[in-house]
Amino acid sequence: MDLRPENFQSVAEIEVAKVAQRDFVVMVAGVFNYLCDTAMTAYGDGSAQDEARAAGAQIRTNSLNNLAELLQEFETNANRNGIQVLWAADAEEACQLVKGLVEKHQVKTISKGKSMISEEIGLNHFLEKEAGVKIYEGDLGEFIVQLRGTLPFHIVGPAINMTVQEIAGVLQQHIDMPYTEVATEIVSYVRTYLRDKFERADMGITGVNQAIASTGSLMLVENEGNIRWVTSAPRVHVALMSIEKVCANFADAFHLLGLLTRNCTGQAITSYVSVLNGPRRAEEVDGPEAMYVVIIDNGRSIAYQDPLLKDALRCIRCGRCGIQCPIYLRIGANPYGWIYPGPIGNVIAPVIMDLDRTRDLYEACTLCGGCQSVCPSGMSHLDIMTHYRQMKVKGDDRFGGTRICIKERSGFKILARGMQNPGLYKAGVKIARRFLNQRSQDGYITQMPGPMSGWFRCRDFPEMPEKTFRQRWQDELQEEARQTADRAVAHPEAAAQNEEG
Amino acid sequence: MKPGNGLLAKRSDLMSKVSLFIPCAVDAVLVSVGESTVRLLARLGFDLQYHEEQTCCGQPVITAGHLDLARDAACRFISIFEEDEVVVSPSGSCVSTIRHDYPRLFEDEPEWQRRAVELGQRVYELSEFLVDVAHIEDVNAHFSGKLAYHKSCHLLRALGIDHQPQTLLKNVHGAELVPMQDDHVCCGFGGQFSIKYPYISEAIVGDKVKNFLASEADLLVLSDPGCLLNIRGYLHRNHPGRQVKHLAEVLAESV
Repeated sequence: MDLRPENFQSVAEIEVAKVAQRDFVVMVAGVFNYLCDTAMTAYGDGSAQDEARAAGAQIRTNSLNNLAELLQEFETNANRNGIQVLWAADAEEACQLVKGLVEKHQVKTISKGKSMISEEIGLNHFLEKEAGVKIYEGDLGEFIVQLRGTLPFHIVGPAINMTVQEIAGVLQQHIDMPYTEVATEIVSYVRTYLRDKFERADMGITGVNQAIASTGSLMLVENEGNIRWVTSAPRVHVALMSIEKVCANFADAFHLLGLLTRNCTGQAITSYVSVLNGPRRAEEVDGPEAMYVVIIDNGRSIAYQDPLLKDALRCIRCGRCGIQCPIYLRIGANPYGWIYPGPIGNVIAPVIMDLDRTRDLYEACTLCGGCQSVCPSGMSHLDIMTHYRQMKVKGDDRFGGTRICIKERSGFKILARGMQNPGLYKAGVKIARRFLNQRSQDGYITQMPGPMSGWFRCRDFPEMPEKTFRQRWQDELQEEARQTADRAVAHPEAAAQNEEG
Repeated sequence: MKPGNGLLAKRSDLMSKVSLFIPCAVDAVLVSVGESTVRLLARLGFDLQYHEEQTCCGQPVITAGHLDLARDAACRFISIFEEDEVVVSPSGSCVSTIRHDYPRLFEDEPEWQRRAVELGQRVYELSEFLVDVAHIEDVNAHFSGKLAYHKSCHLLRALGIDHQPQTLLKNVHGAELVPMQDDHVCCGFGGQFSIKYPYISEAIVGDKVKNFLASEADLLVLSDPGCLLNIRGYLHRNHPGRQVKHLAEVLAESV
């Protein structure tokens, strides 16, 4: 299977047929939605929760509105803490910068904390190939996915779709684990295996949950302790962040932290929250000798110029939208063909990859709004996706969108003309009725060739009545309605009694 | 609330006039939904008006991204309805188009935008109108059996309409409103989506129907023509005899 967004349709058709996986994922999502909903009650009732989300949205608005200033402030304060800040315009430059650090510090082994941005820029693959280093993922789910060589299923739960049997099989095959389906034994084996590698790591690489501008600190959130290890044991720590991860101060950061963990795993707070303020100081016994932050743009500043697309940078990567999305839950991560599946991918992939390649991402959406109804950072997923559709229709130079073809456009032109002209509209209804009803059996049409055939894959369509509502209104409904209403108004008690029987 | 005299007396003259916005899918296919809407509102004493020149609100064109094509249709729609005090429609989805999408079509034309916003404030979905505007919670409808309610996406999340249809259903004489798993989750219609991604749509509507059957309700009720076409078509193919109806169809059946 070639996992690229261009292949969305064919991959989705394969994935959706995996009924057992589908039912399992829908069930797991139900559990997580329940946990998250319950965790959100810490803020109070529904309206208090809305306020908490609105406050989160406001913090993100402030961060984005002052992005350049906050990033500069962060750099100044990080430098003061002894953290070196490097800037990368795109994935290639980011990878080269990290490669430079690997060479400078003569690194052989790298341990990693789970980081979406490192996946986005393809860092593991690049470093293993170009710098000849060994890289070990520290997050259990990410480690399993790394061994299996597939895309993470969910940004927070990378292996959440896998059964314990599948996980045991992967670990048996790749790291010689004696086969067991007991979760604690699996975790214990992987822990021993990874600790051995981690002890030898020269460099730790992580992402960043939030970079706090006022103090030049990094906040990292996790449950397994691997990030704590990766950021404190190796000689060098390299943290990767995309430009939008900056936050003004700790008050803002802690509010977002509360929303992040509650909407991510349904926890009030995760087992570990690390706040890093620089490399090891003279009097300290732990910590890296050198610490770097690589701030990566990778297409974001172009989106930032567009008032609507700027919104796509609000995301704090809690992943809540994914477990709300009826489409993602049925097809999984593979069809999205990239590391951000579900609503996040629909919103972010088009600005980073381009509108043509990602077309199915923003079109395979019913606009149900489940995603944005729970988003703690105030993202308007639907506006953004509709905007992409519009950009695609018109063609867009910035994001590689080719204008849609005339054939596709003409159908909508005809529809629009029908909306303008009641005569045409009525004629259109008449033609459609003749076309549909000739295939009708017992009041329903059960199949049809051509562009409408998709509808009939799993459902029928009722035949169109001989008279439209408008004709019925003219012929009898208008008069009936007038008489009924007159009776009801003139004799309300009689009408009421009559109705009460 | 007591039906009859009490509720009729409460309405002002202004509110007794109702202009009907009948979506194209109802006009051409789901005619009984339009008919039920008329019978229900007439029975409650509303003076109904129907502008025969209305066509379609343009939602399919807007969601597909052809905003330029939708603009003229929106101007026409606004011109037809803007003199009306109250416009009522048996479709949450189409009401959401007028209320939320129209103003955005006119970002560069403040005068049209103002007209769109003002009209949007007076266009109501049927249950929203009955409960929030006319303050009618019991329409004297009758149904013997259990009802399940599907919370259509645009109704629930775009318009924030949730308790209104459920209140009306709870007050249906002889009926019991029963809970349904994932009642707030999309049915997989999504307009063009259902045709372009039929296999995904099938998986979603399949789960919706599974939850309906598990609820042991006799009838599934909803208030959007799109979901109705989708679920009705799926039931007819896969579970013949099982019923889904529009809220208006249920409420129009009087005691």
